Amino acid sequence: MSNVSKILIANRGEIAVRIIRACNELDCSTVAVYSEADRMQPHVRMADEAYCIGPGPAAESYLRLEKLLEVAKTSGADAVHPGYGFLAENADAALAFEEQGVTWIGPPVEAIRLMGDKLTARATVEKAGIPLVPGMKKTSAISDKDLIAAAETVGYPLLIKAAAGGGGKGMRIVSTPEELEEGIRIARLESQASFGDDRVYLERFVTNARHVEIQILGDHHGNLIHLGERDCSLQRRHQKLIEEAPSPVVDEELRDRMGEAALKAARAVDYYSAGTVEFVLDNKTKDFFFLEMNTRLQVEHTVTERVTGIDIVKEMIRIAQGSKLCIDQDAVTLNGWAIECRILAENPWLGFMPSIGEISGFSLPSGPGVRTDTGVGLGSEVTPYYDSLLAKIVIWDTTRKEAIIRTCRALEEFQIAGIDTTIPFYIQLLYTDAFLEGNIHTRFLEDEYLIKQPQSAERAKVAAVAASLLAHQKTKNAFVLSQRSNEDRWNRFARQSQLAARL
Amino acid sequence: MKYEVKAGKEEFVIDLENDGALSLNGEEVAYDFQVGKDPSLYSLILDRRSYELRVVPDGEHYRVLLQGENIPVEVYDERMRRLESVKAVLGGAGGELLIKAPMPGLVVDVLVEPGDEVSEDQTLVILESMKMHNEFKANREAIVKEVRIKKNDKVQRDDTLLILE
Repeated sequence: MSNVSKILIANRGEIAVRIIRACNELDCSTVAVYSEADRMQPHVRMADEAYCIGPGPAAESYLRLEKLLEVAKTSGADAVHPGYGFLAENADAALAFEEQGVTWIGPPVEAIRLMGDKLTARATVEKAGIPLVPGMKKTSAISDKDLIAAAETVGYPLLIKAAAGGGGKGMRIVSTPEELEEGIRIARLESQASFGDDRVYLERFVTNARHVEIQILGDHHGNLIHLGERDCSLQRRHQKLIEEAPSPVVDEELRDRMGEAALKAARAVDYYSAGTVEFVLDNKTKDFFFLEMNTRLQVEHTVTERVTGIDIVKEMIRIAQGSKLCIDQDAVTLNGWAIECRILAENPWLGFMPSIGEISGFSLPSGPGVRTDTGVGLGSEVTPYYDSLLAKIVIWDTTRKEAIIRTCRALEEFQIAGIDTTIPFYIQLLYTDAFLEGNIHTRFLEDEYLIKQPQSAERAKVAAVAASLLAHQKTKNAFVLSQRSNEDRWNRFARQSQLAARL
Repeated sequence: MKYEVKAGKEEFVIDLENDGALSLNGEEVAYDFQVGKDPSLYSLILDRRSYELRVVPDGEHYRVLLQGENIPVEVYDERMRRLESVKAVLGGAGGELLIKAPMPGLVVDVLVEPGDEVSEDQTLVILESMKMHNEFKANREAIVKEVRIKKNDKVQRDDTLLILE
């Protein structure tokens, strides 16, 4: 098998950091790439070598294949890990690297191609006998007219999906015929902007459904296993926010059946490396339908790692080196409960508006059962060029309930100042009865949950005192240069009041 | 010095004496406020309860991060209070509404033209930032007075996109 010892990481942020860590543990050297906006990001500082590949916008940097190929050549990298997003599901990119003699740490080019196009993917897995979400029959040259005509038979509510889509991008839900045309227009626009491809198709939207996905791992020796499920039902606008493993609604028997279906889908495209088969699971009937297959490492791979004890990123590298899988199917067991929260630079109280600026205060949570994967730190500039994922916290405990409590504890410890994040929203959400009981579906946030900014009078009081002390100091400094600093005065006053309290 | 403080939705009157004594809504409270080596990290012991906070200046005001909650705090002394009331009178004169960009981004589409009548919740502009399309809607019925941007423009935070009246 090919030599894999110097790895180009064609990504940024937390996932680039995650991959660098795996490389370090496997004694592989690392090559980072960065845009001009990312010069001081952790992945650049952590790698053995780093190359600037262009200005901030992704299209001028992380998406420039020719630049990445050039860096591979210059640095002498013998393999490339694409992470997720950017070029991770770009079959042409995988092929170009392979042709240059650089091993693609991921699945075969043909698998990326077949599963990357959602329409081809549907046709492929249907042949393999896996149930599909009901959708339109036509699979090529779909015009607006075709869509409008098909909408009647697909039925409402329906989803307009980008054929080239993935990661929740280019998807729109339409509940009534009146919204259809506008929905198609925006979906095409968004798809064109995100994927350079405006093909869309229609699928029935299964209501009261969960999003449950199966992690797949395969090697070059014909071994293919699954690592159980992840439940990613908590979403906002089709973007996953919180994921957990196992799923609160999947039992041993259902896990086996879903795992078998996922393996079938993977075998249909001769899969190796890590991948994920996503299903829609009907909360009531427990019927499941194929949604799509992601031919890459996923953001939420961490929860599977935590409950199975398998390091998926290291496995991907070992597989690319030609090793056999470290474990066989019978040895895969799920231990305890893991929850991941995606910490996003968004303001949950303003419709999840992106929040941009400098991180002026930063401390990570720690303690038992807490893992953090971050791509930012103190002083990091959050720019509008990339997605809003700052960090992930992955929490483990023996039961689901304890894992939820521990997650809230860790979220309260996690301090990111200077920008808004989704942290306070998660704390509020995790403590709701619906989440505690595992009683949610993919439209829970949109349809049932009332997002309300928490107002704690006690916290407001504390904040008011702290801010007025600082304002007071500022005013004082502006008017007179006092001989004693305010801090001294505070110290003195504290001593006085502590002495008084002792009596 | 007397301060009127708005923290989130709560309001307080905080009086700071020259000797450092602090009273909150007229009642004196014991406190110990310390900053560490990490410049935004503070420890406040207030009536023996201990709090760890991050305080970041936000223009004239502050943002206080406490137990996961990010609380905007406005602190006014008498001089600032007077300035604010003057501004309020000036700003309240016209019925114009400036739609500003809350973040930098790329204008994906402008769906209205000057002179258009728009209704509440009608989408005016689509802005792309962090790979997401954000739709900006009219918050009331209005007439578009001016459009300051066009498709594919890059805008900065606080740039005026449209003026409604």
